[in-house]
Amino acid sequence: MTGSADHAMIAGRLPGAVPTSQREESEPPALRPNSFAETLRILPFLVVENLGYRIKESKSGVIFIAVEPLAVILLSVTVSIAAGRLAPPVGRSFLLFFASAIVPFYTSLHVAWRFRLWDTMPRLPGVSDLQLAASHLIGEMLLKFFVLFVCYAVVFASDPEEAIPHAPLLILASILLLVMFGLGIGLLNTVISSFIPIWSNVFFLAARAWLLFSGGLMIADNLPEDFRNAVAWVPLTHAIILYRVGQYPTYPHLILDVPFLVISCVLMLAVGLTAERATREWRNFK
Amino acid sequence: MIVLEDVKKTVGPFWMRQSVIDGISVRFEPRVNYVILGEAGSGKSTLLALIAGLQRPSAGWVRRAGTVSVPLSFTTRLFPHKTGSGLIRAMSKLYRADAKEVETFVVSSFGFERELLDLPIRTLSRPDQVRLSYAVGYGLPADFLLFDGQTVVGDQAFRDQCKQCLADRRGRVGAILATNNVRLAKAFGDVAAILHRGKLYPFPSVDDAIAAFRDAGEGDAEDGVEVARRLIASGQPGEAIATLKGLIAADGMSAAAAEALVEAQLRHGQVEEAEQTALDALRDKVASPKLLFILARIAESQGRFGDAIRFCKEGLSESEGSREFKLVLARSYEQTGSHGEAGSVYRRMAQQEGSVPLMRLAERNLMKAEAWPGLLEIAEQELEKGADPSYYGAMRFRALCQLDRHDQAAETLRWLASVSMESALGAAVRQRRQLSVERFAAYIGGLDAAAIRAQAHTRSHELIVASIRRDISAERRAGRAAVVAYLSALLNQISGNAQPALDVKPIGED
Repeated sequence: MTGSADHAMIAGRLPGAVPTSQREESEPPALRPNSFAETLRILPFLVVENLGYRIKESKSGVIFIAVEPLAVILLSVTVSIAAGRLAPPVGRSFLLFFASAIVPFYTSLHVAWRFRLWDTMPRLPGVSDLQLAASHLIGEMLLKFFVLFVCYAVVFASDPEEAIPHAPLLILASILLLVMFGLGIGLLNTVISSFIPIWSNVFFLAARAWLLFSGGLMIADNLPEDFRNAVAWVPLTHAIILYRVGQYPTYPHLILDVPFLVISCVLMLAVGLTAERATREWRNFK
Repeated sequence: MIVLEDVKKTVGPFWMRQSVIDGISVRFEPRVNYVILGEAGSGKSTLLALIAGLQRPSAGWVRRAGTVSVPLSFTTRLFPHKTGSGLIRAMSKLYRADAKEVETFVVSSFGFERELLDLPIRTLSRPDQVRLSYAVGYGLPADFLLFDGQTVVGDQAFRDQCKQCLADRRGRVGAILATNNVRLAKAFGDVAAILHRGKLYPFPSVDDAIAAFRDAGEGDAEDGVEVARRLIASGQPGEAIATLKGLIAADGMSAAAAEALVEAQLRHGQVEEAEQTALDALRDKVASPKLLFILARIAESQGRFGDAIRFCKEGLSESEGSREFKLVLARSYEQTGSHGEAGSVYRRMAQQEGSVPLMRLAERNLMKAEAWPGLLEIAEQELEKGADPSYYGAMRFRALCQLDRHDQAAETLRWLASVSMESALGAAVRQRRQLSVERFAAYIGGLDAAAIRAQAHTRSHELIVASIRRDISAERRAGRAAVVAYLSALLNQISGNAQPALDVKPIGED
């Protein structure tokens, strides 16, 4: 083959194949798959396809993803009532109080959990990485919105006034920031898992325990000072407070630091993307 | 237009990375047919997957203007959980096509059975999956068609339709064919390149590329048969069958093509077709020993042992040393009751290979055939070699008895008794069925009582007696009684319970 290679080297280049160094001289190819209109057209299909595929491949997996936050919420409510508490620290509904922390937390966690599989997610023709990622993010958010819908519907049925959020945009902003944070973590997980395969399992256990330190099961401002100062470094705490500020008009939020939250989430996403891109040559993926 | 910019692809865990694509920069222009030649494992499929967007490059960029098909053989693998109709709907969505039109095209143009479209793809047979894959691939609009190895598949009608689709689109869409089949490359491509060790080497013409490919030694193996063999190896026997049938139709039957076709048909579960193909090759006088062997195996598996013997003998006349032929031949002889022939074949094989299990098979068959001279010969040879004296001594004794060489038999039995009393007694008792009581008793009587006594310390004579009592037919009862009486007396003498019957005489004389 060496001979043929030499022959090929001498023979020149493929007719019609312009060296890419001269590419700027000709018209750059249009990147149709990334166009906004194309993305809008294809995204619903991809979301349905991804969710459908996940359900077909592992019904229990999808049910677990949807039911786990609900189960944790119900457990927290049960424990609080059993402990003799008559009302949540804020508002009138235990269900809403815990849902306002647990659902955002799980949004971030499940996005991270989903994107640990970024390398092995099936690729489709004409679907860019951005569209693929967006479809999975939307799928995860839809599942969480379903859980929120259930919680809000239950609260609304008994106490409509309590169920109506004070500032819905803050809630949306909180969820979007958490998705961004989860995406960064997920991409980092992808990278770490490719070098340390057991990492996914470690993360699975450790991340759930983190709920206790995210300041979501109580009011972060009311925590002992040392503990409060510690949880103030956790972006999740700020995101949950932001969510609750959007839900409750009187939620204490002295430690809420929105710039810190935004910078943390953006930074985490940037770190995740950079790590994913920088390690591609050393990772084994499709 | 498709542009690859310094595209790299590495695979494997980080501690043992392997580069599959090593920095390819190339531009594929619209409406041009490209051929990428490369040996097996050169990364052709990976390159196509990168171009189609089914895989991500480890480094570099792939830019696409317009739509690029998936490699046509890959279409069904994208949505294996869907039905055929579901696949068409999903692919139509991705390619902005009308799903109904595509489905109509698949059914009417390619003759794909409509009812199969309602079944999950996973449940379709492999040939149907491939046909569906190509039919849907051809039915979708694309500015670039990608082919991995083949442009046409299936039966003749399906192949003709694939060719028609390709001809209709020629000049309107571009295509990239990655293959190692130079014949196909020559017929297909406008321009060609060779993919070697992760690098793409473009050539000014397809002929130049083919010449370079052949010069490098890759072309030697690039006929249709080799392509088919690789298809078989990659689990696509249906495609291999179609390829080979086309090849045979075009070039006539050859031994290599017939062999590959038979192999593909067998892999595909088409046993009758495989047998017919091999018989056709036999009729055309291009049958190889391999085909004869396959015929023999098929005949053996179907209980046609006469045919199996015939094919084996024919095969052995062409390849004398073939062990497989001999084994099938011996098994077939056994099945037809020709134990003498089976034993001879096994014996020759055992002697050539020094195989004990084969020698046992030979002995068993020779016993069944009552081929005593052969058995005697085996026993003596093995005894000379120092093989198990008790086993082969007993065999020698029995053979001598059967050949009416009683003096030598008696001598053998005495020697055997000196080696192993149990073997001697066992041989004598077994032989008793074959001989008259008197003669048997004489042999037993000839045993050396001292030898029995010497063995008494280490052997269980009770067991010996029990073994003699066991399984003796009624008509030999008198002989058994004599033996039992003799041995009981002997035991008593050994254990000191009674007066010994030291004066050993033939029992029959008592």
